[in-house]
Amino acid sequence: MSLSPNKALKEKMVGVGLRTDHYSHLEESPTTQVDFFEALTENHLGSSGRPYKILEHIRKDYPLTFHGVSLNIAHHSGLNFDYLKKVKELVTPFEPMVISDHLCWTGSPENNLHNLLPFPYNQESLDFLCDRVDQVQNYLGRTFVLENLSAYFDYTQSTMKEWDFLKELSLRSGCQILLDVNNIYVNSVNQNFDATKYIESIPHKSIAEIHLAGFTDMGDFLFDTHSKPVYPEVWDLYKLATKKAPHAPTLIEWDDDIPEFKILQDEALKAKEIIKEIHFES
Amino acid sequence: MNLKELQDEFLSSVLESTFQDGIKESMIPGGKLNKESCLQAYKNDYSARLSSALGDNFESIWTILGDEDFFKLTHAYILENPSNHYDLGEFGNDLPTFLKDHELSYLSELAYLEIEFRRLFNGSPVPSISQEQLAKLSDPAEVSFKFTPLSFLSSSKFPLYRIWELRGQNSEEAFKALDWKEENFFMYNTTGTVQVLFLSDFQKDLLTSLLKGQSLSKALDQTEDGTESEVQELFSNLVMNKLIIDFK
Repeated sequence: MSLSPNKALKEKMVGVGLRTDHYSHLEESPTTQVDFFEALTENHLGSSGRPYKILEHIRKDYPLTFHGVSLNIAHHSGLNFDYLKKVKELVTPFEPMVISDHLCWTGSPENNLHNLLPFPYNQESLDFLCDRVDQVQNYLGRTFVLENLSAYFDYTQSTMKEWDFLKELSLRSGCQILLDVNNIYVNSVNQNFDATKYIESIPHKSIAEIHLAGFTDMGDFLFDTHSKPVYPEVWDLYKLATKKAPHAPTLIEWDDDIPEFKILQDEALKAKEIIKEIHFES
Repeated sequence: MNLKELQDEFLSSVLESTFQDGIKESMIPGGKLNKESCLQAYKNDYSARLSSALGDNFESIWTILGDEDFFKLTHAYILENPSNHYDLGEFGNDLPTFLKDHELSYLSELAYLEIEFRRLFNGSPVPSISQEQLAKLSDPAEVSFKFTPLSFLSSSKFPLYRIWELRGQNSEEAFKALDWKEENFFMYNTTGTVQVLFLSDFQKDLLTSLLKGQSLSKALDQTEDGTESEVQELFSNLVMNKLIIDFK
């Protein structure tokens, strides 16, 4: 496989999530206006067929990032090194710009809830997670990136704000942060906090990547569905995030009711326009 | 409560019929949700995700049963078979057994076909031996052949492949128009695409023996009612479609 250079060109790059619905389109090597693709790690684990071949095909022309949902780093039972081994074997040949997962737990080894679940933001969790991050980074031999999640409740046991917890975790463990701006907005509405304060509190050097997506208003709460275009309120917060972390590539996620590739790409172009306004025209 | 206690109580609340008091006391729900509705949202989401995974993994079963009966089935399956694997693509691997006693007796076989199809789809083709190598064999009838592991031989009383082909289509007419007779086929992936060969009963019996490692002469001794042209057709397909990966 001949790889395109993985320069420090991450700066101001905008990519889109690689989804099965677009495989046929992308296999024809169309000219696109995106700078990179993000693969959902689990969609490609254990496959050497089409889901693997599409990665090889895409990687000839674009850098890749890998984003997982199954690390389960915050469950008390311990890391699943069988899973981590498979992740390492999958991603290594592709020299990804970023390897990430979520700062959450997903279930126990016997019962996987396949959901991204919150945990209390307190000293017990912080000490425990610093140790876990250390194990992951040592095993993978590189910096690992963790995404802030959308959650529909907090715990009475939390003694820290989510953004303070992320900041401390990053500073102590050396992990980086995948700043999901949509999740920050969703949580800010559901949990009634100031989203700008959140973004301002995260050290810019800790931000490795930015995610954007659409949510669904369920009436009682905002639900992080990744099934719609990015909302105006989230674009506004994105301006703050990309101004703060111009080095961090931006990714548009769309996981349900996935539109044709052009519509997804148009969302990426909106992000590029904002980057242009903020970094080149001011 | 510590992290372990909170996580254990949350899991129990989602998986079992009652919400645990400890987790309820520890929750500060977001939005306009209360503690019960918040836990219920996670409980519903768990069921929806696993049902959706079963829908993706067993699309043909969904097509046959229709929404109402399929979701009754998924609900019952999820209650008895919690997911213990990180890959939702693995969820439902016990569905063929779960469907063993279903009134539509072909559903269990259909579920198994879906699992085998995914295995073939996700696998990497194994290099075959060349036609030239095979042509050099001095006594091919006494040779034992090894076939690609990315293959699956099916023999059913039902037109299983034809039923499976209708997945995702809302075509009652096509379903009724099926020729409900027994069907044998060999499904394989030797080129990156899953393909299928239909077989006569004789060819199926012969291939069954060959897959067990028996030589052609021994396999023919044990197989009845075949013609020479059926043997030639089978071998031609096995060679042309690169299904033979070794011999001894």
